[in-house]
Amino acid sequence: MNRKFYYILLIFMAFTFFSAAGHNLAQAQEKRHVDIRLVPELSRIEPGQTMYVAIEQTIAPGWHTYWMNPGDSGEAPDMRWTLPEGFEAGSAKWPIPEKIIIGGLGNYGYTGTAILLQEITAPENLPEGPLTLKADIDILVCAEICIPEQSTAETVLNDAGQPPQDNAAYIDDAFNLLPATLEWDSYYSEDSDGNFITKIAVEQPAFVEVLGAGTDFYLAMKDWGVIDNAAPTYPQASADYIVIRHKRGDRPIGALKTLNGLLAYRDGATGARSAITFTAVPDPEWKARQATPPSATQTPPGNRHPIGLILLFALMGGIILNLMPCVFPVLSLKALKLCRMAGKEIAQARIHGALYAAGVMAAFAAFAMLLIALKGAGAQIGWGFHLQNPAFVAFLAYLMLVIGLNLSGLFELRVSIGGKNAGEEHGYAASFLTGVLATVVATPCTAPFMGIAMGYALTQGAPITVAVFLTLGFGLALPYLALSFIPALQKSLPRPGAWMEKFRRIMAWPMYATAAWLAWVYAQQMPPFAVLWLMGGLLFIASGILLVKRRKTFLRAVGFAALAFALLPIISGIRHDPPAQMQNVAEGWTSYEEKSFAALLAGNDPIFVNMTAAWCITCKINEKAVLDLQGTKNLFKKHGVRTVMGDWTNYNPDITAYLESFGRKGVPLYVYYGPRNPGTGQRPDPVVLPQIVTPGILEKTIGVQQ
Amino acid sequence: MKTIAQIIAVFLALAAAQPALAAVAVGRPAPDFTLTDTHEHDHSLSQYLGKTVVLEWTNHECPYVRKHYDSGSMQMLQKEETEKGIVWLSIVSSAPGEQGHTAPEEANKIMGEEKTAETARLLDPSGDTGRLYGAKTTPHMFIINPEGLLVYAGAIDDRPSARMNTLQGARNHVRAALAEMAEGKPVSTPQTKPYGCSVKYAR
Repeated sequence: MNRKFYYILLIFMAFTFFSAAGHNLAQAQEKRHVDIRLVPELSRIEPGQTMYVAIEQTIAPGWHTYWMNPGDSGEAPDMRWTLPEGFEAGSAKWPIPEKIIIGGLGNYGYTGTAILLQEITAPENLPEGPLTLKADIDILVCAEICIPEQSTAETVLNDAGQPPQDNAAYIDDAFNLLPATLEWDSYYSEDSDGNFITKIAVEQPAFVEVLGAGTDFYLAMKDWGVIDNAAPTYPQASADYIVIRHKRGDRPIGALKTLNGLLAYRDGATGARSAITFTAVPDPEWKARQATPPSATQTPPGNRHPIGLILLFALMGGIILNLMPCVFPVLSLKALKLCRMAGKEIAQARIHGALYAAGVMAAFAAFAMLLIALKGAGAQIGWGFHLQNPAFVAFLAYLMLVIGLNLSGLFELRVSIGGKNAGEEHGYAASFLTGVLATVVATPCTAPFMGIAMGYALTQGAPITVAVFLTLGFGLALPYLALSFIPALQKSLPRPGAWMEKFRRIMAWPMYATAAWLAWVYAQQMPPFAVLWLMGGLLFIASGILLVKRRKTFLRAVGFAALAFALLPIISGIRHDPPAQMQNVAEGWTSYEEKSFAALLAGNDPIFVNMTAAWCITCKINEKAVLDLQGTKNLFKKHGVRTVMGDWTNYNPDITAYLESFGRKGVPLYVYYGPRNPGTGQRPDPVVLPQIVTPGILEKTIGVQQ
Repeated sequence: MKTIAQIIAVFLALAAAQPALAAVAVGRPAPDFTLTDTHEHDHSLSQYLGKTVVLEWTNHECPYVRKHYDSGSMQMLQKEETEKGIVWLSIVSSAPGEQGHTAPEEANKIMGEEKTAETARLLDPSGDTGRLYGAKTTPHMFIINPEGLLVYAGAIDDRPSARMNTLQGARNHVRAALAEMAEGKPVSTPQTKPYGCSVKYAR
């Protein structure tokens, strides 16, 4: 008897020991980080009744699970229900997620306890007896590391053996942790700075005050990739709209329709986590903007200027143009004529001034028309585009030489167009033509302020283009016009005398210099041998002009032949196919190619872009006086700046497109891209430098952006 | 005069400032990087211009990565594609002390045990390259075409789960994209939401 008792006791103890050990072992192996249980609203369900079943996650401290959109990483729990026959499961309601940022990645999820609410509907013909609701749940739980856990949770309804339970209060509490569903009209759009904008029409003005008192705002979208999850949210509320600004994510959203999201905040009064949901449709205004051709969606910055400011720029650009080396000699000559006239009647001076202005403006208007026509024909062109044509460059070189020779007193230019009498007597036609000439010789020069005005003009409709060009012309004509109309100014001019002839001779030299420079431009565009032709052409022009004045028929014939020969470089320039997109890039610079530049831009280093052309004198001055200086090179080196040069001497659509992206239609263009911020991974906005750069400006720009 | 010029300069700079382009986007050039592999060799993306390059962000301890390696499916894809001349670079951006961070010898040991078949496994302990590409998860896949343009970014397949049985019937986005590229077709699904563990960047 005793022995038997001991045997039983031994077996019992052994059983207890092993079961305990086994239990511990199982626990060690499957130490869960999330415990899941199901809590039904009521333990009894009626036929056809709908109730909520809570899925309660109890999450280990330091660990988190995920919302329906987990954010940058992670995974939403996957729930699969096994329900008695005829039961239906609706959609689950998710509590307000927390925003969890680790190592620069943004996630949405839960810590502590999270309760999802699942709607369950019983069938009309409810089966008898206990009913088991079972959920298989795959849930990812993460701390620094992630562990996928698989759980099965069950609850039994209508079990006669158990006392009835009413968990309505528990479900109510869970409801309070859900976001508030406000079905207010909501619209989404993108702004030009890469932000996702949500606009919610306020239907209860009192709510704006509640929101105003809130803190700790963040936006969470149900769809992935719409917003940059780790970025902060900037909400603003007025009586009419709640506007939420948040950096866009990397997924294109053009094809998406409605977007669901929530704006979470901490309630100012209670400190409780609160949120409002919205279902946003694309903002109609934004859609309309998108519907316009893609080239127009990227608004050039020039467009942000009011038209008045642009016209002011054009006027200033025109005035400054007077001082450019290619224009100044022509104009100073004009001014000299005024000196002579100072004694004569004022009326005539005014007529000359007005005619000159008319000439300038007519030439500018013609130029504008030509540009509009070419643009209409689909050409990628900008200011100075004609200088991409070697024939025109050769022509301009001749013109400069001829003007120079004229100034040097080697011959007098008689204006025979428009009737000899008028020309001889009063020089009216000459005044008009001087205006045209001033415009033609001004074309190689881009003055400061002209770039913005020009770029703006060419992106606008024809009337505005013409208006801007006319204003430029008016600016160019203005100093002379002022001189001729205001006698007081005329009196301030030095008295006429022998010095005037000397001055005129001196003024010939800038013209020769311009001709020499144009010859160099021609050399950039044409094969080396062609340059010899141009030089020969210049010689023929000079000798031809001198010879045709001679009395002897033979000499005159030789002169005309020489002039005819001089046409050859122009003809060969016309026949010459420009070396497509050939770029001539200075040492130490990378040539601008769309692809390689985009790769550079995607990298981290700061970038300095220099858009230039051989025929752009402002560009060349900047390069020699600033960019090529050892100090500048050292500055670039010190900050690790990648230097990129785009040579627009020849036609190059990629460079034209780049200029256009900054609202420009001409060179020079200098753009500095600061280095990518290692913390945020963002590049600062590119900075456009002025068209006249100085070492100081460079240093300031590059220094500040570090 | 100098002051006026500077005022004008500042004004113009302000007037013409324009937002920068997004860093990495499908259809745009992939940014260049240089990283050292587990055998101390340097690899730059630019050196592979002219070839298709697959970038695979990985972390050998992440359960989602485990799904693809324990099943052998990732190694198989690596082997198939590298044999076709495609450059496959797996990248580890785990910071020192974080999950998945490996010294070169340790990484080589793991690669040997798992019989991986990538062109090279690159170590990015600073996370700079990972952040440059916006790599968010392991795995996170990128495909760069021979012209250097990013043509795919996102998940390895369409089953965002760590469970092995989800491999059955899944569409492997990388395999599909590479097949389309081989036929000269555009990639039909150029972007998906990457899934997996977060990349364990330095905190």
